[in-house]
Amino acid sequence: MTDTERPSLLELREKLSHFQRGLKAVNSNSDSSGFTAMHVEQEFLECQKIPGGVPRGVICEITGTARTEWMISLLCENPKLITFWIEDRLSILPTAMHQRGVDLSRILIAEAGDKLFQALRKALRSQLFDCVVLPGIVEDMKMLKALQLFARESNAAVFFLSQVAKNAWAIPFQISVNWEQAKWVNPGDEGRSLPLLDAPQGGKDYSVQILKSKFSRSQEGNETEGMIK
Amino acid sequence: MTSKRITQMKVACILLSPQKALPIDFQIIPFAEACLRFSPQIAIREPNTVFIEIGKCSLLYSERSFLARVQVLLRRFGVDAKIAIAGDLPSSLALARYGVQGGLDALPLDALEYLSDPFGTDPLGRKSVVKMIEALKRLGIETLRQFKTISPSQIPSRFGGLGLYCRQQMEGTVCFPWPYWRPPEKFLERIDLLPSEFCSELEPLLFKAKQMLDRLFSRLRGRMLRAERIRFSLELEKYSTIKNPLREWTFELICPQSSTGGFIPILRERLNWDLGRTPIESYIIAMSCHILSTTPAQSLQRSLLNTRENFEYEEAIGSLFNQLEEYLGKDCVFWARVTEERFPEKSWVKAKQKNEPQADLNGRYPKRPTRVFKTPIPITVIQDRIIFRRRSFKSVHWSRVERLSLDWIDDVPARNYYRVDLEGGRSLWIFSEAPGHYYFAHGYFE
Repeated sequence: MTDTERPSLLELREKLSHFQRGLKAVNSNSDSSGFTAMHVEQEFLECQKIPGGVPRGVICEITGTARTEWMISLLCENPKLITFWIEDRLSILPTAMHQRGVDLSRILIAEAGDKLFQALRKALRSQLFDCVVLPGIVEDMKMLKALQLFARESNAAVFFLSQVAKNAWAIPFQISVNWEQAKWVNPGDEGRSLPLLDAPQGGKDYSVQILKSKFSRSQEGNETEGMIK
Repeated sequence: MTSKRITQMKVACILLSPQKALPIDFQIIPFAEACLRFSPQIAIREPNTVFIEIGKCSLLYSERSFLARVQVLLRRFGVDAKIAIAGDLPSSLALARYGVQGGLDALPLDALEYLSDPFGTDPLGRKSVVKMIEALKRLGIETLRQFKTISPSQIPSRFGGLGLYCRQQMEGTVCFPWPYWRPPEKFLERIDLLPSEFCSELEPLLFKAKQMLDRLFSRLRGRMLRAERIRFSLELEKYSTIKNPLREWTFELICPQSSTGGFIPILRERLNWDLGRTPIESYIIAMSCHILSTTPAQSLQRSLLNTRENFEYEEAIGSLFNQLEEYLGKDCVFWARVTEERFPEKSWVKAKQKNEPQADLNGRYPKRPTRVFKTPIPITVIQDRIIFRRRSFKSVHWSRVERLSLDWIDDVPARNYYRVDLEGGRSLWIFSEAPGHYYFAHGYFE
């Protein structure tokens, strides 16, 4: 073999990551009989509330009153993710994320103002992040399409935290997360009581509803329509 | 046993004129480099003092010819200086400071300050020396000659170890360690450009810069170093209409870079922004890149299998951080570091390093809202209704009060915080500064 035929280190590394990705998909799709589905390459993030998991490499839109709380819990469930959290006007409280068990050293935060899309494009093109979280203010179809392509190239899960779900083909996965009724302790005391410190979200829980999904990871995937608690 | 000099040194102290009188572009290091012709043993006291050990070169030149050569050198650099030669470094500094030739005896007592700490590296020790000088002056001792008349056996009991050390310095019985200095290494690359190369636009400029940076970073890698601070310069043709024919940009890199690939995007961001505001007015005749400071890269080992835990990934993240900071502005990109403070505004700070230690908040106080407003928003509370941004919400539950206060010196009133559950599942985080006072919404649980 001559020097020109030898693959470079970069190519080898790319092939290796491709192979690892395929292997992971194979492991997650093998059943008890040892049958594996080699054609599946879509990766998923683990999520307790969504049996099939959350797809990577696509835009996922999260709506509802507890969307940030769900996002934080997803980061807790996948502690190895390296995340880019970008907002036009910063309102996230990092202390709250830390209290809920998120490793802040794995989250790069940016306040972008009106340069959100350009900054986001730089971050996605760098292919350094597994997960990107942004407010759902990108509505232009061209931008969504570009984001979808960047997300697929970098295999990063791009999460839109939106108030209202968009009707856009570039967003293949949409869920709605809403608070349920609170569970309190110490009733009385003139109607005022202390929420449980160790309960999730200070005494409240939320429900997850899948609005749109073009993915089915496992057999339970067929049941993704409807309410999941 | 009588005191005896330990070393047979001869130290010349060149005390350049005060900082204010020096030319604006004067730097001590080039001058010290020029002094290396006299002796390889040189020390610097920033900002304006150079020490040269000339005792070992006595066969090469005399003191007189040394002084004459130094005068020529000073003229070349356009500066004035006081020069003193003594047997050790602190004495030469004290003599040069007071412009006295000969012995230390004639110096005022304040010279002890220079004898005890000639490099000015110990501010605490300096305070003690000043106190000792004041005490000696109260006793009527004004000069070093008078100080010498005090019996050495009485000094430790009255002025402690510091007094004895000063006395020993005067007598030359202690050896002052000579700090090692060598001129900093320069990593500088330069390219001359012809007008026919059309480098007035950003892209051709970066194309040319890449060749230069490749060479520069190869040199760094060969020395196992990474660039921490870089200065990039463009020299323009000196037309009469151009005020500043030299354009310079200095880059402070968050994560030191060892490759062109990491630095070029940062350079692109800065030039794009800056040349957009102030375009190049004439053609570029040369470009240069100077590495101002470096860090060692001894532990850089490539990992073939784990691409996320090797130095290349860290450098790539650092490069992206710099790019985003150039693009969005300072403090707009950061890692968060949680502190011990309970006040929400002070409970976290922005950090430029990602692995800073986090405070442990586990179970210390109730969970904070995920979202906060930049400035609290006034709300109106009427019985079980809350009017917020002109909309009325029904509250279904108020949590127990959590009282937060800062230190008294901050002069910020304490706040009573409540978590209020609204009908429909949403929750607000509100506070009042006193019971029954005005209420403000500070955040919400989303």
